[in-house]
Amino acid sequence: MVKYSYYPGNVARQSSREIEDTIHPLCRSLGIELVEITGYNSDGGNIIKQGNRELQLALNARNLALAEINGHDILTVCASSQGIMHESLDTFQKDPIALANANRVLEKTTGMTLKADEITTSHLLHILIDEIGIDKIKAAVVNPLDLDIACYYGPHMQRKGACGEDDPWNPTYMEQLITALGGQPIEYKSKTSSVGNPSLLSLGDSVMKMTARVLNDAKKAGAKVLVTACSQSHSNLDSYQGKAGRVANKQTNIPVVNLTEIIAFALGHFTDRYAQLRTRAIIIGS
Amino acid sequence: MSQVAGNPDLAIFFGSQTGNAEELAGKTAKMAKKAGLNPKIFDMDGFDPATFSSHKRILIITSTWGEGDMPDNAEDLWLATEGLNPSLAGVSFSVCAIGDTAYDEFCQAGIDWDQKFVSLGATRVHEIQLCDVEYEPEWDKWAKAVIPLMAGVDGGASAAPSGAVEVEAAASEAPIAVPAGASGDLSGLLSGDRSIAIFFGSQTGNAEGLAAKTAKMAAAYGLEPTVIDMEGYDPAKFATHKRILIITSTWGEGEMPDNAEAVWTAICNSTPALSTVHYSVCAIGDTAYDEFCQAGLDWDGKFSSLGATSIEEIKLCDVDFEPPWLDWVKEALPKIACVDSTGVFQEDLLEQMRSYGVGDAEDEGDAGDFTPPSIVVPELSVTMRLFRYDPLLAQSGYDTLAVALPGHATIEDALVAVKREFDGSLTFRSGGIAGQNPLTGIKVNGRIVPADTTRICDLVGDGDTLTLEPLPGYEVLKDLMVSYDRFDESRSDSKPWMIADPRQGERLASGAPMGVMSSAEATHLHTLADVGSLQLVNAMSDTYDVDEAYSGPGIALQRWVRSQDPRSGSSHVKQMFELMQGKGGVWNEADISSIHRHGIDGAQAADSLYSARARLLAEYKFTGKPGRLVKTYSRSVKMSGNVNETTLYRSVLGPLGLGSNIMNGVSLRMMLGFTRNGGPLMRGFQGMLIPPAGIGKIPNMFNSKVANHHEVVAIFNELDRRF
Repeated sequence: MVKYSYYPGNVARQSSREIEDTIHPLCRSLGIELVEITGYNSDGGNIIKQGNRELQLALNARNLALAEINGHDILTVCASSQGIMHESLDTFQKDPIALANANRVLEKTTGMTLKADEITTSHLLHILIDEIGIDKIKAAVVNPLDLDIACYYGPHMQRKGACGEDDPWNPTYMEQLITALGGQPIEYKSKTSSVGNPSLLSLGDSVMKMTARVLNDAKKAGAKVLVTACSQSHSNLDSYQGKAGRVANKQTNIPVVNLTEIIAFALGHFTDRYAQLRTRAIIIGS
Repeated sequence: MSQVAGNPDLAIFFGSQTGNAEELAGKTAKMAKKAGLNPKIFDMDGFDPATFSSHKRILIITSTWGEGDMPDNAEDLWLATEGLNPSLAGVSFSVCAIGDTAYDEFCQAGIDWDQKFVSLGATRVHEIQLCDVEYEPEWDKWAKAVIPLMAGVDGGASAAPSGAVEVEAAASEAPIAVPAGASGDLSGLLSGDRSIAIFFGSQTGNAEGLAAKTAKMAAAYGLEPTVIDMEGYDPAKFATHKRILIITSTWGEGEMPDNAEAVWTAICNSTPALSTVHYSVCAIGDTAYDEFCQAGLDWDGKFSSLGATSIEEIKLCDVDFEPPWLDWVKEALPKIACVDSTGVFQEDLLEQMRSYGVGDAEDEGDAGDFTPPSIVVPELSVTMRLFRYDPLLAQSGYDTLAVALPGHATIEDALVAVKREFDGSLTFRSGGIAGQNPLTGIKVNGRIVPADTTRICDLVGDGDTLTLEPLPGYEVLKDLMVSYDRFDESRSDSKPWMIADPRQGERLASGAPMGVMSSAEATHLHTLADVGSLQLVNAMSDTYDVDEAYSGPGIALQRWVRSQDPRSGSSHVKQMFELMQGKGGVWNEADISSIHRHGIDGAQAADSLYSARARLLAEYKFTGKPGRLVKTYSRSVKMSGNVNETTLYRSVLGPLGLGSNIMNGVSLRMMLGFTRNGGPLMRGFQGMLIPPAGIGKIPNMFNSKVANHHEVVAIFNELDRRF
C-alpha cells in the first residue's frame, strides 16, 4: 500500500459525487491508501486569486501544511486543483518572501508552519503512470473498456513539473492508461484546450464555444466517450453540452465521464453504471 | 575539384551593414574552396586600396545603404579608392550587389564598385549581379557562374599581402590558414582533417558555456571544433571522431545531467569500440556532495574501457569551476591538437603546438569579446504537417512532409527549406536576421512561439510530428501568414500613448526638461511589460479566437502597464480602467491558465491579468457577474471552508440566468446527471427540490463546515475583510 494525503478538490464531495463514489474503490484495487486531510479547505479555484492573490496562497498554504502533518504527498483528482496547488507550492519553494508571508499568517491563525521543502502534489493520473505503473494496472483490469475514448486534460495542470513526466503540450498519460484498461484512445487536437470553466457562470457564448470546440473535436475524431481529468471542467462538458452545441452550431452530444469513473469501471466496480455508460455510448450517444 | 590556374588565392571583399553580405561572403568562400581555390575573406573596413592590385582574383559582395550609399564598413575604403585611383590592371573581378527595388538607388554601392574597378583597368569576368531583398537565389546563380570563371583566371605566383584584415568565417566553415611561422612538420600536422568534437552534458548551462569557450580556444590550435549537445546523440557515432573532449556536470546523487542520461544509458548497452579516439574529460561538480563529479568520472572510465586513449587526465572542478577548467583546457587542447589526421598522437610536436596556440588561446579564454559558436544538435527526422490555405480557391488543408533537419535549426529555417526544396508558394512571415521579430508567431504542436528564434529540438524529438498552424485568433491571409489588423485596431482603440500629468522633473545639461522616475518604479514598469510580442500573447489565450469582441491579453497587458505608469495622468488612468473593465476588456478572458502555461511571456501576461482584475474589483466594488462571482465564491469559502455551488449559481446567474439554464436544458442535464452516471436518483431530486438552490445538480445545498473552520475565517480576516 502506498499512502497519499487525499485532496478531493472543490466538487468531488458536492456536485460530482460520482468521483467520490469511484476514487476509493479504484485506489483500493491498485494498492493506494488515501489519507484524509482533516479540515482541508477550498484551493480558491483561481477565483479567489482574482480578488486577492495572497489570500488564495494562504488558503493553499494551510492545505499543504495539513498534508505535511499527515506525512504523505498529496493526491488530487482534479486537474484544476492540481494546477493551483502545484503553482502555490512552486511559489513557496522559489520565493522565500512569499513563504515567509504565508507562514506569518498561518502561524497567527492556525499555529502551523509550512516547510514546503519535501511535499509534492500530483494528480491521480500521474501517480498511476509514474508510481503504480501500467503493468500493475493492466493486471487489475476486470472489465476491459473496449470503447473509443477521447481524453480531456484541460490546460490547468499541463505545465512542466505539474504533470509528472508527461509532455505538457502533447500529453499521452491518459491515452496510455486507457489502452491499459482495454479501451482505444482517440487522438484529437484540443485535448489540452480550455473550456473556460472559471468563467462558466460569468461569461456566456465564448465559454460555450470553447466547450463545443473540445466536444466537437472529440466527436469528429471518432470518440464514443470523453473522459476528463478535470472535475471542474466536467460541468461544462457534460451539463452544458447541449447548450454549447446550440450556441456554437456544432455536434456536441457525447457521454462525458470523470477519469475516476472509467478506471473504476474497468477495475470491476459499479458494473451497473458501466453498463449504462456503454448503453449511452453505443446506443444513445450523449 | 576543378583545375585552378596558378596561385589559387581568391580575395572576397564584403561591404555589409546588417551582416547579409558578410554571410554571403562566407558561403561564397565555402563554394570557392570546393572548387580548388584558396579563398580569403576581407572586411572592407580598414583595407588599404593600394593593395587591391596584389590580388589576381577579387569578388566583391556589397549591400547598399540609405539612398545609394556605401555600407558603413565600406565607406572609408570607397573614399580612399576614389582618392588613390590605383591601377588594377591584371586584376579579374566580379561584383554581387544586394539591394531593395523599393529604393530608387537600387544596388548603387555595388554598381559604383563595378564601374570603379572597370575604370581602374580591372577585368570583369562576370556581369554584376543585382539582388533584391530575397537575395539568396540570385547570389547563388552568380556564385555558381563566377567561381569556375575565377578558377580559370591565372592566379600568378604572388601571395596575399600582409597587413590585410582577415575575417574568420564560422569555425566549422573557415578555411585553415597555416601561419607563415609554422614549421614544416607543424604545417603537416595542421593540414588534413582537423575536426574535434566537444560534447557537453549540462543541467544548468555551465558545462554548455564551457564547451562553447573551449571551442573558441580550440580554433587557436588549428582545430575545427563542433560543439555537440549530448541530448539525443547516437553513441555509435563516437567512433567517427578522432578527437573528443567531454565537459559534463553531475546532477543529484552522482547522476548524469538530463541531456546526457539517454546517451549514457545507450552507450552502456551498446559498448562501441573507441580505439581510434583520443579524448579528455572535464568534470564539474560540488565537493559538498559525496558523488563529486561522478558523471565525468563515469564518462572517463567508460571511454577508457572502450579502448579510447586519454590524452589528458580528467579534471575535477568544484563550484568555482572556471580556473580548473582553464588549467585543463590549456593542457588538453595542445595535446589533442597534436593528434594528426590519421589519429596518431604526434608527441614530438607538442611544444611547437603549445607555442603556436598559446597566445591566441589565452586571449580567447577571456570572456570579454567572446562570441559563442553555434551549437550543433544531432539531425532530427520529423514529419512536418503544414497548414495550407489558398485564399483564391478558399481551400484549406494540411501538407505532410517527411524531412530531416538539423536539430538546432529554427522553425523558420525549416519553413525556408520547405519553400526552397518543395513548394515555393508556401507563405509565412520571415524574421530576417535582425533578431526576434514579434510578428513571426506561429502555432507549433499547440504552442505559440516566434518562428525565427525557436529551435526545433526544443519542441520535438527524433521521429516526432511537427504540426505548424497559423496563430489562432487572427485572420489567415495565406498558409501560415495572418493579418494583425485585429490587434492593431484594438491597440488603437486602447489609446496606449502616454497622456501625462505635469509632474516633478529635472533639466538636462541642454536645458531641456526631463521627467524623473525612481529606479524601483522604472524596474517595476519594465518587469510588467517584459514580453517579446503582444501579438503572440493575444494568441496564447484560448478565448481570443472564439470571442471577437475580446481585445486579448496582450492589449490588456499594455493597458495595465499604462495604468500603472506613475507618469500617466489621472484621467488617462481612469480611461484605462474603463477600457479594461468594459466590453472586450480583461473580464472577457475565460481562463487565464490557458495563457499562463505559455512560458515566461504567458506567465507574465497572466500575472498582469490577475493584478488588473484585483484592481478593477476594488475600483468598481465587485459589480457585474465577474465581481459577484469572486465575492460570492470567496464568501462561501469563508463561511464553510468549501465552495457552495448552490449559492454561486443563484447569486451569479440570478433569476434570468437560472431561467435560461432551464430553457436550454442545462438544469435538466444537471438534474439527471446522477441518473445518467448510475448514481442514486435522490441526488438529482435534491438539486431540484430543495430551496433556495437554482434548479440543478446540487446535492449538498448547504456545506457543512470543515474541521477547524475558525482557522479559515481567521485567514480571511487577516488578509481581506471585504469578504
